[in-house]
Amino acid sequence: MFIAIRDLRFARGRFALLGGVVALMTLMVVALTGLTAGLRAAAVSAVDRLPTAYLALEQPPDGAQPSFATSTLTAEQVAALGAYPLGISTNRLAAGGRTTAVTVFGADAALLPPLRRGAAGGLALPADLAADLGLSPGDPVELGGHPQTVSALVEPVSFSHLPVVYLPVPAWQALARTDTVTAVALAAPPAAPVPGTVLRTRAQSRDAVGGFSSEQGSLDLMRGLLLVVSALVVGAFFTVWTVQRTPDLAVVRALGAGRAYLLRDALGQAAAVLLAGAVLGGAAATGLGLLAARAVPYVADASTVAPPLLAMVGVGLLGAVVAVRRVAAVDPITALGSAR
Amino acid sequence: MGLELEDVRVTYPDGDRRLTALAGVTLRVAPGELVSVLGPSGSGKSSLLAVAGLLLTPDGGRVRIGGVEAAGLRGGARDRLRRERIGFVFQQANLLPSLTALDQLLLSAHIRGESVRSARGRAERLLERVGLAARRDRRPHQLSGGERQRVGIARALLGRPRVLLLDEPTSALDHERGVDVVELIRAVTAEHGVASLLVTHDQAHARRADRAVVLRDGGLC
Repeated sequence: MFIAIRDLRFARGRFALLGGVVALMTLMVVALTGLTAGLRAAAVSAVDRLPTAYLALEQPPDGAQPSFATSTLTAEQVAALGAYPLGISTNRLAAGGRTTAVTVFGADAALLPPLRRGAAGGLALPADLAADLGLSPGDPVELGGHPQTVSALVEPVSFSHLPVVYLPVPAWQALARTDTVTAVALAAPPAAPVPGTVLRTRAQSRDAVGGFSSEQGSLDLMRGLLLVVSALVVGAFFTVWTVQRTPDLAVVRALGAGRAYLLRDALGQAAAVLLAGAVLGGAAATGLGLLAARAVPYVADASTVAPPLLAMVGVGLLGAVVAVRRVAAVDPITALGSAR
Repeated sequence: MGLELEDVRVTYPDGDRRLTALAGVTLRVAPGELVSVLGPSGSGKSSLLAVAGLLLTPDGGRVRIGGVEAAGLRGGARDRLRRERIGFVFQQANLLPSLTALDQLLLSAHIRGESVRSARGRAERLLERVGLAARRDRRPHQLSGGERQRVGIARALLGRPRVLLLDEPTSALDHERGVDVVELIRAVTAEHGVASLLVTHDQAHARRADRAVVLRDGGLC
């Protein structure tokens, strides 16, 4: 990287510009990844945290996708499946003059997230919501207009972008005015198929949450497009850069440098700029993400920073490889004469 | 054991026929000898330099660089022979804009796989020899045309070449500076025992060489 390092110093403005663009693109990709993970958690973390591997839902008609919003399983179907019934509805929780929308899970105590305080068997609130409303076990609240008493605080989970509160199944059925449930959580597939039901793994069940697939798909598409744009931007920069210095490269070839020498130098230069830009962008995105996480669903950890950062470097290098491969085609004979 | 060209022939495609650039040129340049090549435009001077510098494979004939036959060499082997035994001085000096005068020389060492640290002393001495010790940290745009050519000469000599090829190194200089550069070339040719081939349009510069040959229509006369 003898030439690369000196070029970086000499043309520092140009490379700073490219590094800045890479940093901005990385910031956007990392921020979108954190937001995607945050929205995923807000939409389906209650499903992801279920201790069972499968969920049975009502088989929808005409091959449509099963949905938690429309699924209804009868007591006979629940008995045939032989596992944990799960009711899901949306209600208002009122306490201390404040009201908030919540998802109510009617579930056996075995399906609850880890307890932080109190005892299972009644209304369990997510700890963060309880803190926000100033509630502790034993405090009275109204859920869907019905008086309830907080019995436990659990680790926070969400469903369909609302915090999840837990009630025992009979209490949930009373609240929902139904004798059915929404789904059944199972540790293993039933011995025999139960008519009118469809079995999904826990991961597959995410798609039964309204809007989850389209929301995540849109965000994934944006991230993919950003990566493609990044590859194009980096490729375009290094194409122009390589074309500009082709006469210099011809001189280096005439001095005896092989193609591999020039390729190593050019790719090393690209990697240095990409890495610096990506690390800068990733650090900025992490800092902003930690601030944003106080207001919006956002996950800022290694799983949302490292993969997009590495992807940025990877696709950038891909663009650079396509651009600098013309280095190998530089003809040293053009260093002679007055062609320069 | 300097530069030996024997019956070298070069043709280029020109529509349906082939244009002859070199028609059986035989030329020997001994170590420590400076030979100038004169000739009008299109006489084959650039082709002669390209063949001697292993940048162009001739259609026929033999090329020996410091006693090594180059005819059968391809790709990497030609690159290696060029970087180990040939020094180039170009028409416009062709220095890399991002490198200081000292770095231009160190690049030559780096390309040959030599440690930059170990080459530094030699590079500084060469810059001193061409009168640029005080300008070693200047980049090309901070040097005059004559200074750039002096850096080019020092760069070409760093790898201790057997053959020095000079492609009209004075064409961008006024006469006085041109004379200075040719005198420098004469001196370093003798000091380093290198076989130097100087292509020039300037007859006065050509006469300063140990021997002058004229190239016309692809042949020496």
